[in-house]
Amino acid sequence: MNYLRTERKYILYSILLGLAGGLVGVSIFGLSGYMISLSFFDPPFFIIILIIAVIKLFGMMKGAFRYIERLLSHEATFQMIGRLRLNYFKRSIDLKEDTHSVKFIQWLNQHFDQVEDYYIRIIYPYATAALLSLILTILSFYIGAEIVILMIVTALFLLVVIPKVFERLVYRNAAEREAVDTQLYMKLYHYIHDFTDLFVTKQIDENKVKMEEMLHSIRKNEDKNSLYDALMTFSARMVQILGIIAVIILMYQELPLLVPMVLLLLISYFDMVMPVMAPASNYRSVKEAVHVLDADKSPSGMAPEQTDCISRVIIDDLDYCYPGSKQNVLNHINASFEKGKKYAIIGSSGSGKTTLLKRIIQGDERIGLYDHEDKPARESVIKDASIMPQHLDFYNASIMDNVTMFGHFRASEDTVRHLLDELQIKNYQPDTMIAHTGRLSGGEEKRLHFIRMIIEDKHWWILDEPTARLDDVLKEKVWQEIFNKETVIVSTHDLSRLEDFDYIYYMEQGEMIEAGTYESLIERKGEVWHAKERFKDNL
Amino acid sequence: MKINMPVKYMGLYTVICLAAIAAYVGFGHHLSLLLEDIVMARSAPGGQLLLWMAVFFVLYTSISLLYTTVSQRIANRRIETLGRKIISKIDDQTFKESESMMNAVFVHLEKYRPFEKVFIPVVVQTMVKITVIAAAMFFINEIAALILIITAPFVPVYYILVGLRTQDEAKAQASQFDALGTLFLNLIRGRNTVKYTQSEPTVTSRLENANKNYVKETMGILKYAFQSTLMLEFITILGIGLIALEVGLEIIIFESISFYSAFFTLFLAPEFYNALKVLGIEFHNGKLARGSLEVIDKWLEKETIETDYRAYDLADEAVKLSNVTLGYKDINLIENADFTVPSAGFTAVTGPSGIGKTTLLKMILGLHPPGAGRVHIRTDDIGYISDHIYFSDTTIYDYVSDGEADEAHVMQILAELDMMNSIDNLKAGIHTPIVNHNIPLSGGEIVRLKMARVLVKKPDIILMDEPTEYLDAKTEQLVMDHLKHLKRRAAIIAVVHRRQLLKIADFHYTVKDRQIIPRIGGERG
Repeated sequence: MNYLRTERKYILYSILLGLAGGLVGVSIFGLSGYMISLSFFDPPFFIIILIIAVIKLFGMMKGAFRYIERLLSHEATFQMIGRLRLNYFKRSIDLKEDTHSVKFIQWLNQHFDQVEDYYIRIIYPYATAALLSLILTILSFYIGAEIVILMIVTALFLLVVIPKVFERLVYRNAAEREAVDTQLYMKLYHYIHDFTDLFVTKQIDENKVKMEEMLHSIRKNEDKNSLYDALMTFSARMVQILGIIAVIILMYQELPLLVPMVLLLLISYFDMVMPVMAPASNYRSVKEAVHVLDADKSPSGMAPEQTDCISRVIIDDLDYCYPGSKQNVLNHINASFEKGKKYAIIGSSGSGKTTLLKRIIQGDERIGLYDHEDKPARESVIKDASIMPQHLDFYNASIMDNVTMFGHFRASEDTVRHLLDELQIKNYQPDTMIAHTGRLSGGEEKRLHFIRMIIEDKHWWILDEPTARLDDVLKEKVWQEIFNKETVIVSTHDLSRLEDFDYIYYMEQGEMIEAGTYESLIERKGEVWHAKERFKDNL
Repeated sequence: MKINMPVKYMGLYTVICLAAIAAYVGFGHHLSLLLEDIVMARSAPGGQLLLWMAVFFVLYTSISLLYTTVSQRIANRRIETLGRKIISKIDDQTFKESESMMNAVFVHLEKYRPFEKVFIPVVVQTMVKITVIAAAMFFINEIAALILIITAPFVPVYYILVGLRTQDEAKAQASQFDALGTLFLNLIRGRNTVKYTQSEPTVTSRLENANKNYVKETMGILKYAFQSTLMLEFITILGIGLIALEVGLEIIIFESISFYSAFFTLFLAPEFYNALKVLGIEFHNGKLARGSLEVIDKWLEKETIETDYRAYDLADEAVKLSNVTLGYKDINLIENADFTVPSAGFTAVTGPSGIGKTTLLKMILGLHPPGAGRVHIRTDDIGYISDHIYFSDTTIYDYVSDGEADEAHVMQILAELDMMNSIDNLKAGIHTPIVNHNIPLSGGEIVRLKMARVLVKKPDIILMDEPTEYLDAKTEQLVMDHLKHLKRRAAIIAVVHRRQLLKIADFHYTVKDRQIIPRIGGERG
């Protein structure tokens, strides 16, 4: 039980308490059965009173045990989920999967949902029920070997045979459910995000019908699940009536006085153990989920700290091809970027600008990073550069937390407030909560990320389309901030400030077509000159 | 707690439960007779009795199986219907709250399911059980029956008192748990930014603390909830103890009770209290599930466009807005405006961002009903060009052709739009299956794909939301050439950001002061 390592203490206690509660619970029934038999044979009155008192005392104890044990088991579960989440997040930093993908998030959600059930509903009740069965089996030695066998057979049926028989069915059903859920999730996401286009192309109804079909299969799946659960209970009840008949037949001759007691014990035992069966049949599906989430974090080898800052980035004959794609997106790219200068990468959409920036950020063997003595420096530009990727990330937390990365960068509320004013983000204050990250508009995201970069305050800035989706006033402000910076690499369609860059790269279809200073490129009247001419046309 | 279940189902549930409980009482009756024989008469159990006992038990078990199956099937059907209703509330604005919509379908609907599947059947079962047991008890042991009836109300009364107090706290806690889960997902999704800013240690310690606080607060509330279960347990044991005492006294002191009655009483009494206790515990779960229904209800309250609000009564013009007011809940973007678009020609609409230009297009498309006034339109044959799309379950070919053009035609149009380079990059060219937007398309490429579709369909009305960014000179020129050609026979209404496009405009309007004002600027306007 690797997954429960830190919660061990709680788990041990809660199982012990659960067991004590269960024992006391069944003995209440047993005692009352015994009391009746005894009463009719003129026992001393105080014995009856004593039994009743014990019954009451046991009842109180059972309640108290159950109370403490529930607290412990819930705390253990919450801690376990918290720890799993934390570990998973740490691991996700180096994951290869695209975590923005809807599919991935859906997968993660499904697995964490299952984990919530893991301890409270599966492990702990089962352990308790198994121990209870064991103790009752040992106690049955006082009555006779037949009853011991009866007890063992019953416990095996309830705890092993019935759950095992249904486990396969439940597992298959769960897999089917997961598949439909994933399908529906994708479909629904598509439907929400492409609604306008589906409406225009008159495909709304067709898509709705498909989703309704999926909802229907979810219902069928749930029906099946319910049926399995009900059948498990039914089979257990059949075992129960056989057990009752067996007890009567086995005991009536030798120990008639004890029959009521044993019968009530048996009935109470079934009431306690039967609820464990259905979750136990789920064990296989849930275990897989927990296992996937709880794989150990391989310690990411921290590169030895190098103090020198990056002075130059040199790209030497870089090719790049996306996995699964036939053609290179980047072909024979050569470029260099020096500290203290400002670079623009321009070119039509789909020319490879974003890919080139991504390569610089993620690192590539064809991209060299050097310090001021031209010695190789650092493994990644991240240490020295603030980055504005195309896809900006925000979190459901306060504005302050979002722009300081939960306090990772130091900034006072006043600074943030001032920056919010400066960039005209009117509806937000530092303490405003972003409840739904999807509600931020594109322009708001850009500006908030800008504030993040200003606060982060690194030497290099690498930006992908920094002025997209901003109005003219804001564009101007953003450009001003950019040109205040020491070193910048910007990919942009907005050519309004092209002349202010020290050096310009022009890309087309994955190749570097032109490069040079603004003046030289304009003089040449090549692609850059053309692009600039057309740009002047903006309203 | 309101149970909104049709009476016919409640009736059905009650009847099945009655049968099940009656069978159980029958089982208890025969078991007690049997034990009286064994204990008192020391005789062998009668085969007949044994058989009847087994028959009643099997009957009880079978009817219980029927009850769970029937009630859960009904619940699942109702949940499916509810799911359909939620999905029908999706419109073109939902993407802004897509997370909340996805949660409603995948989280809250599932959290509500137990309310219909478990809670309602348990309520009915409990009611029937306690009534039948109390009634049966009058025939077995009158004093015990009285004890049952007197002590029973303590359980629900106590639970309601405690339940009311925990309800709000529990709801707040549930939403906090949701928020923590969302933060976790947000962080996973946004791990790139965490990586780029190297803030992992800070962020992890934040997540850790958030979880610690959550556990601490939740345990405080749970403590309270569990205390009430503890109290219930005490009340129950008090009741059972009282009955045991009463039975004991009757046997020994008054010698006024048979073994049969004594055993039967002690057999049924715990069932009675257990039923109440289960109801108490389910009451708590039911409350939580109702909280999820409230989230769902918020979506269900949303108004959707049921029917097309546009009037198809134009013969000459393509679009005519008369006295139209347009906006969102609290703000009007356009008030009492008139606007006419002829059946052919390029109509440009300009104005600063956020002034309502795109909303105007959406209104003509049929996606955004006007607050007041009338939208007249000649036909529903509309094409829409913008830079947003989310492709899924389709191929480039299917999207562009819409089942109306052959492959050669589609290829030719895509070639004209200079798309072949990007298309060749895909594994199976224009037939590459696209699932959840798994192909990299730039804004310019999306615009060109939409243009290609319009060129195939040649609709009578073309609406266009010119992208403010992304379009390079070449794409722009290509798109413009096609528009110039298309405007001869179609009405094009375009939200325009660049002067270039104004050059081909026949009419030019600006949205200003909540009006749509004609401007000099188009060739003819």
